[in-house]
Amino acid sequence: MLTLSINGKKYTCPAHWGEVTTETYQRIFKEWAAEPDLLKRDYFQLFSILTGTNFKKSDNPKVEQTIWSAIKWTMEDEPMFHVEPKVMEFKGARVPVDLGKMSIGQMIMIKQAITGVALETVLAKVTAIIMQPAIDGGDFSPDRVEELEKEILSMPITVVGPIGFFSVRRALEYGKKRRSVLDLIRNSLGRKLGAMSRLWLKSKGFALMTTSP
Amino acid sequence: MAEVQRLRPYDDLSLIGKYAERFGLDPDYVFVKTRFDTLMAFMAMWKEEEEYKERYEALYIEIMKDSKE
Repeated sequence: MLTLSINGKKYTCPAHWGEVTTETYQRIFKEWAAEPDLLKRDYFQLFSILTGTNFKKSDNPKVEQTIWSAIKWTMEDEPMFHVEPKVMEFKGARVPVDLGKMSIGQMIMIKQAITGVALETVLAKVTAIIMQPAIDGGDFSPDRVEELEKEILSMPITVVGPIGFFSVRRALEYGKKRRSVLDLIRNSLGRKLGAMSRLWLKSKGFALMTTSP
Repeated sequence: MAEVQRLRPYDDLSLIGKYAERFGLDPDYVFVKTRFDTLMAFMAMWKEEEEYKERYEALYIEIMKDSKE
């Protein structure tokens, strides 16, 4: 953590993604990264979110320079949470791989959580829904999901991110029929040859000539 | 109905309602206990059956019309 002193006030700012909590990460995507135009994004607001304060925009170049040097790592260090996690464990429980075994209630709650919002903004909730029965043992309990979500929000995003993204991706893809590239080529070729053979039988041209008059 | 009240009415609640009704189960029990795979397999089967029934009835009506004419 970086400790900065601006206008006589002390601020503590994370220095890398490992020091960013899931709650802060979700706030970054909900409040700051929601603006698609990079030039319109307010870096003072990002500093406020990272430090958990209400920092007001300053025109002082020295202050601007200090803040930029404190937050520039967020631009330089791209978070790599979309890769598959190396350890499939979370809070001492194994991450469920066979999502068909999840209860219908879990699946519906995941769907409702991610509908119409960016996945990054609901990562803690979705991870809590998926992991709750594995962590507590027994059946799915929505009441415990809320408690677990609060715990997850205070955990580092580097721990929650890979498991959350991996699980959600699997939940979204679940039930979709997967076809290999070879299958797709085979089917496409089969269709084309079938169509060609029908043409060939009817053809009286030169290219595909039959022996009949 | 403590658990299923968390769901949006007319959205996904019908999945649980239909399954619970057919098997005489408590909707909360279905919400918590029933596997996603199991419920979806039954839903697919019932949908196929309903579609088949609709087509059969439509064909039957057409045949009966022709035979009367």
